[in-house]
Amino acid sequence: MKEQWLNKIKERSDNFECRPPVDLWDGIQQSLVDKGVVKEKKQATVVPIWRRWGLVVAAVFLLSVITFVALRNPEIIENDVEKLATVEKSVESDTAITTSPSVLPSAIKSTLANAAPLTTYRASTTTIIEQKTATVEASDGIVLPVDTVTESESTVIPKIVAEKENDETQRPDMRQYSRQSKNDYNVFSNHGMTISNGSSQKSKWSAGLFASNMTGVDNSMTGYGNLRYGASPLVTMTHAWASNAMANIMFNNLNGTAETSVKHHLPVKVGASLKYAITDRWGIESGLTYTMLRSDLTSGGENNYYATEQTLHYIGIPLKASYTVWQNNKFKAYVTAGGQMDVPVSGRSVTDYVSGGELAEQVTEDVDVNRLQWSVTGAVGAQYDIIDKIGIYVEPGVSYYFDDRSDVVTIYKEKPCNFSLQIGLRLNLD
Amino acid sequence: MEYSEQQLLEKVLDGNAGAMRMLYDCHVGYLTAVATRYIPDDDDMKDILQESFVKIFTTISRFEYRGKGSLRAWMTRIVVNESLDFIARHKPKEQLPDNIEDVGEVVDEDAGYEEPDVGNVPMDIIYEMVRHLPDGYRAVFNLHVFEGKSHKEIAKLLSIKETSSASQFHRAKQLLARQINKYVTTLTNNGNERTMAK
Repeated sequence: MKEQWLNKIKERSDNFECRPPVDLWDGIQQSLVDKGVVKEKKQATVVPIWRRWGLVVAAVFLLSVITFVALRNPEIIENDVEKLATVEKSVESDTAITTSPSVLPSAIKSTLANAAPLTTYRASTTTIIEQKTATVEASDGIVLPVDTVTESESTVIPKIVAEKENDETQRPDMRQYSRQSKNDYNVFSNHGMTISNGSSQKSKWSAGLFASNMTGVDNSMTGYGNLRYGASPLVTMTHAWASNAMANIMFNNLNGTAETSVKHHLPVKVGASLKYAITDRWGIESGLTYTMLRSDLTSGGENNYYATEQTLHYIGIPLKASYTVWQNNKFKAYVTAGGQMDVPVSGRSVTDYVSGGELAEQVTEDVDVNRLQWSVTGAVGAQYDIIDKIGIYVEPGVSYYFDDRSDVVTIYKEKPCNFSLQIGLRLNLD
Repeated sequence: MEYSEQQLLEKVLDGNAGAMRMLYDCHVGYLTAVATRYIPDDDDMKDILQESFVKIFTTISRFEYRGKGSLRAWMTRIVVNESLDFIARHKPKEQLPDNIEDVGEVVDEDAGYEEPDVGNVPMDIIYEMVRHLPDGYRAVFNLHVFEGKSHKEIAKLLSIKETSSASQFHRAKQLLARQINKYVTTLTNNGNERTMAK
């Protein structure tokens, strides 16, 4: 009395399968262990511990670079003070600005010639001198880096001023000045910018190219593995059902042990960035990056195993803020923090099935990650301006990659928090 | 060595853990589908599957290999029995449909429904519909259609009357047919809307 539709349903059900509940096998194993049917088996996982060392190395490296540079050029600090002194001196007499070429470097002199009313200038100057350890908003909103002048140095100012009055030949280093003004650091040059309405002002924009690297990951464990979470070698690899290659591999390894080793290669990341200097110290940066992730997995025994190579491509959009901690005419030390959104654009996985020492089958499939990869990064950076327009920088930092909730295993899942080193060029656009 | 189920079984009997895992991997998908039909709640289903597999591995020495498919059939029986035990344990005392049938209501076998066209309906949709049939109907429907049990056998398994089994099956058929027909109509309408939109 059964009708056709019921027969059809019954027929199709013979081959119909559902995804098993998560952790079902673990539950079964545990229950069997409790009943004494099987012995408890420990799975060894090797986790690299050197990532912590990587962080330490980076910090030490950067600290030493900064210290080395600072120690090499102690006069850098003095020069700042000198400039402040010069500013103060210039303000004292209205005519000083236009009639003391011996004091002011020519580069700045020309900008001052196009000066805005002196009052603006003077007001901001006095503020600077009063607040030696605070940053001050000048009339056009540029933050003047006053805080580089420490308390102890402030006492030097009068002294130098006095010396200046006594020694006419002692002039500020002209070369230093011109470099300073272009690097947008010098107090005086900021004033120059205010007055000249930005005509000789260093650009607020800079662009850059960079390459970045983080450390790779090696993992090994007993048993079979997969680069997709929740995938058991037989059940969800539908192709394996059709072919016996997988079943043969597993069966032939039953007398020995199956081992899985996973190697996540260093992500290769290159990009272009654009940085906008909001103020003298603060900047905001964005851009476009390309990241390639590669993972190799080998699972099985010596002659019977499968090897998967998974390659994923991402396009990313970073957004970072940076704060310049210290700089002089050539060097800049800064800290940067921000986030990035990586979009997976393509992925592929190729699996070789080797049975009895021979390649039995090769399966290629697309990997669709289908989830955005978010990350946050904090880094310290050091930039050296090779020439006026181009600087090279190194940014060791720490990144954290959030779980993208996909079932694809990547280096970010194995090691979400990692050390990375970004090296690049920064161009000062004009 | 080429893989064969019988050889695998031998290894399982030897206590080879890898072989057990392999056996599990081979059949868990199918057995999950079986349990899904009987048990609407996912957590309950997981418990039942776990119990079933434990039972399979602890009693596998008593299993006699009788050719291809015999192992799966044996495992399926275990899962079905575990499911029925669970249903019996959690059955409420008063179940209306059953009582009505016991009174001896005559069921009109020809009560109208159109035989549904299941060709284009995905299997997981059908399974979901079966899964959500009312408790009494579901077990009967499953046992009769999928496990191929006669109403007499079902009556014994579920401790109900044979007539109850027959009428509950009929009700289940009507319900399911109606649901499938509705689904197919919605599918066709959506298709028509799309063609009209062009």
